[in-house]
Amino acid sequence: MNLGRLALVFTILSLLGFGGGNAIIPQMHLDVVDSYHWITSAEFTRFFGLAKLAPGPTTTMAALVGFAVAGIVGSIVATIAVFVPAGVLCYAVGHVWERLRGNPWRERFAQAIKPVVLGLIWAGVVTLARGALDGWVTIAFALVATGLMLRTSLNQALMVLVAGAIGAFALR
Amino acid sequence: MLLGALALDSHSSWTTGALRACAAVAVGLTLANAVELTIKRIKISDLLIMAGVAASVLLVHLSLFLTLLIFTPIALAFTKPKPKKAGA
Repeated sequence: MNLGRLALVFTILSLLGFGGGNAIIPQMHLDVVDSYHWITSAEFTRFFGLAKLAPGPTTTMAALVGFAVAGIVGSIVATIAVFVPAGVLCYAVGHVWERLRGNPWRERFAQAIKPVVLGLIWAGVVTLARGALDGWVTIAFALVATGLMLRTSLNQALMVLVAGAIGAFALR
Repeated sequence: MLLGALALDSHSSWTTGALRACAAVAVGLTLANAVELTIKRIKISDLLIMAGVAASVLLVHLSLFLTLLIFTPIALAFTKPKPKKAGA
């Protein structure tokens, strides 16, 4: 039963994932934390942090959610559900999109969707912050990461890794 | 998967601390990403749409589908078509 729901939840997220992984964070949180109670909000943000360590998009956290729900099988189901429908949709729509090259509506739609996606990303930031920032130390970690990301070209995975090492001492 | 198992079964305070820090940094990185993208679009209409989307999702818990369904046409209405190039 859970496997079917897991597949359905991540398939829908996959098909509506305009703007990438960060834009679907609020809906994923709503589904897996608030609606189905598969994981807690704190686990959700930890999975998100771990997904930043892995190569590829942050939607790889679907594998971790799937693992929490139904072990290895759940992990495989969630990963397939989050990547395959989006891939198929991109392939199908890609041909139509290419044919519309030069059409003013194509450019207009591409411009119009940007603020909507940005609003979703901001909602994602707040959703993640609610689960992850539980004191001044974690707030400091987040602000330092923001500053470093805006001012330097440091590797994101490296930042998460170093923060994890520091956090093992500072936040235990 | 090893990381997932670790995150779910983190009885060690060391592991919990490390994971909490990873999560906090991930929030910071996403915030930076949002700031970078927003700075490029400082237009009142865009900012209003962003605020509307964020408020609908966070306060009303509007689903992703309905959010896209409601706000994409509004954003389209606010987006002016680019003028055709001369001679085109």
